[in-house]
Amino acid sequence: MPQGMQASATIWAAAFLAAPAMLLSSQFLGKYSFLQRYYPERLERAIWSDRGLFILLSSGAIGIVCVVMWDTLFPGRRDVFVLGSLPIRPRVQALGRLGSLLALFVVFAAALNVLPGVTYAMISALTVTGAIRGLPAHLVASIAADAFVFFGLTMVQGVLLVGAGRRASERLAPILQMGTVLIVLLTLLFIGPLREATAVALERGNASDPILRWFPLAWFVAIYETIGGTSRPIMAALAARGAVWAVTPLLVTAALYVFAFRRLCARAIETPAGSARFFLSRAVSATIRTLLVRHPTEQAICAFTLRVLARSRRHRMLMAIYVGGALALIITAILPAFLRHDTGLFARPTVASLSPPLILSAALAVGFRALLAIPVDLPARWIFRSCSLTPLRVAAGVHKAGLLVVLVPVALSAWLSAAMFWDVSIAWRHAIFCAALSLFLLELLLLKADGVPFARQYIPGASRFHLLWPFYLSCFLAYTYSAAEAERLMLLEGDITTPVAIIVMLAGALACMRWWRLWHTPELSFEVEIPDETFKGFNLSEGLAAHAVATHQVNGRSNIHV
Amino acid sequence: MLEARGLTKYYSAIIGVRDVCFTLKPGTVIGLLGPNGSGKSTTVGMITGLLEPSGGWVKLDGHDIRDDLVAYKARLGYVPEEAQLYTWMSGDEYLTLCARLRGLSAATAARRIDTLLSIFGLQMDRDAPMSAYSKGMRQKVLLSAALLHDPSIVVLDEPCSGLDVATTLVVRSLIRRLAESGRMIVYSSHELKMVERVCNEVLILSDGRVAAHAPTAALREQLNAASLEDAFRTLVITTDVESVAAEIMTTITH
Repeated sequence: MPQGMQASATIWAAAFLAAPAMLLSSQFLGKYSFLQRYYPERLERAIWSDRGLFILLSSGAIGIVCVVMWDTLFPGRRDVFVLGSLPIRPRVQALGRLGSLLALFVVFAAALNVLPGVTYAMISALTVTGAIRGLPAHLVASIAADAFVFFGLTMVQGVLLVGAGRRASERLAPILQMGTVLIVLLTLLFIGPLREATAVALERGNASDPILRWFPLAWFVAIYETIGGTSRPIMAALAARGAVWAVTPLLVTAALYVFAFRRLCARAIETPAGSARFFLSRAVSATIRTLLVRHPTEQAICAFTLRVLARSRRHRMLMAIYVGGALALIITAILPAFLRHDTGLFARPTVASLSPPLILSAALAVGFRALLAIPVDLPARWIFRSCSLTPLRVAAGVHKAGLLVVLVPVALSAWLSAAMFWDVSIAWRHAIFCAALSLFLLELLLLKADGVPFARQYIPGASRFHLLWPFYLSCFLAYTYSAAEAERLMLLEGDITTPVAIIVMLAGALACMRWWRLWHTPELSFEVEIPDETFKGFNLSEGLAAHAVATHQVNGRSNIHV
Repeated sequence: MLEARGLTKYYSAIIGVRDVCFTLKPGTVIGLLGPNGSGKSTTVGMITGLLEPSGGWVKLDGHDIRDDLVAYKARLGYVPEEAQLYTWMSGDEYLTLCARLRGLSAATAARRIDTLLSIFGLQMDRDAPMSAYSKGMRQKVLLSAALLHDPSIVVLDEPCSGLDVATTLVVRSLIRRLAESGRMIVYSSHELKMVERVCNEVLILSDGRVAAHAPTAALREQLNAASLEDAFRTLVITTDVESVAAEIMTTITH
């Protein structure tokens, strides 16, 4: 993620998850009054369910914060080089860093929970005592859940760093990040059933219930209830379990900082550089060079693009988030059928079973396009500026990298899934259909892409997602689920040749338009793009910023980073 | 022949350099000298085509380089002042990237990269990421990248920074040989002795203006200086070096 964007991304992610919690409190007032009057026997379960909602949203937000701040949670090379030469004892450094980690957690946990805590404590209280105990109960339960997630992740990272070493930890980081995003998104998508199942299990009060034994939400709702003054005996035992699971990761993280700080610092600077030469990767790149990318410049740009996606931490993390999101949606479509033991899901092609490769395709293509705009080591781009590159060749290299990143995994996953559940004939047709759609999407997304990837300053908000999200959402639904339904019908009728030919022709037309534009582009631009004037009226500050940049460039005063 | 006339660069209202002129014939090495902030890097930036001049022009064989920057850059080899590299790449990968960007065939690139890495003693570390390289190793990668495609114009900005003595001597000899084979070389440095040994002529910048431009020997004679360092002191250094050093000592001991 670009410098300076990390903080804003964190705040936005947290705000996205925290905002509903703030707004929900007011809505619950009417609901509780209604239940108390007409269905008093359901009130307690509804309150547990809603308390679970607050806990899930807060812990989800803190999980995203942890993923975004991943690289800063433990000392890195720069920290060691800067602080190591100063006359500061390692113990002081360790405590200082641990303090700052705690401060980070406290700031986010407080920001996420204090306001909803105050409003919800008053709304959900059935008695005066309940109202007084409500705020601390809400805060302690939510913060305990946050601590479980946040320090759970720091604990895993720390144990990996100390136990397996920095290199292994860096290799596993994208998987852990993707896993966290996956869990957070799945939790959000299944938030209703999860809350309901927890509330039902708490109501039954059976200590051997798997939900009460293994699902953390039940423990933290129990903390809430215990501090709130419940009389149910099961709650105290569950609350104790919740407290243990909230405190243990914190203690382990603190212990890692205090007792293994020297080791962590040594790992940061003494980890020997791993070799980048692997037989398999060399064989694959030789094959790609021979079959797909033959021109030297295209080879250079294609290899550079793939290496950035594979090795730059920021890009890896962001791609992991995109893929994690896609996996969450795929699981959402498939899991209910598995839980219902619905054998019909894979007996024949359905929307749920045909859409996964298309969801993956959307995530990979959009992720690929978005990441091209995020720079990597901007000062090192002088090498591209000092070479004789043409826009057409550069764009061709990027396009081929896109084909490898998007088309290959999509076609493979489509073929494998269809061959596993149905037959090889359907597998081929499914793979060709998904590949054709992916090609079309890639061409569409690369239509206006130019310049060397990862070599320009980043301007956030170019996609104007905050304005156009309904449009993007509609496109996504049409691309994934509507296209899957269309494919299902076509597979039933037996012919996908004509639709595939039309899609490929449309993709070809888009490619021609891109080539035509690049053909008339005299030289590569390394300067930032100016947001177009169209959106001035929608967003004043953005329009003014665009105007300022435009004026700046007209006057020939733009900052040039060589 | 590389000609620069009236090269001027403004950063907002601040003057980077003003009215820099020189002519670089094939087989010559011109040394760019000057104190910090005198405009050396800006001049290098304009010569390499990375910076657009606010005024003046650079011509190669009578053609303005900005008319066809792509063709000009194909003939250019450049070692920048700072070793800014994609450090998550290995030395081998980075040189391969450069070779392909320069349009070299895979076989030629592989052969030249192998040889250059061996010559510079980087064979053992060729597959390690450059984040693990020392400053000198990174400088060797930069030198290799600049020369891989056999450029006819070589711009070297502090090329010996961080290099060991043996490699510095190799670079010195290499610059002579490059010049003897008809290449045009711009050598920007603070190391006056090195400049004196390898450059046919020097261009001294001060406060963004040309303070002197002459063949090295002629400049020494003109200023009646025993060495280039003495000539440089006469032209550029206005401060009393000894008193500044004494002031620093006083500051840190009181």
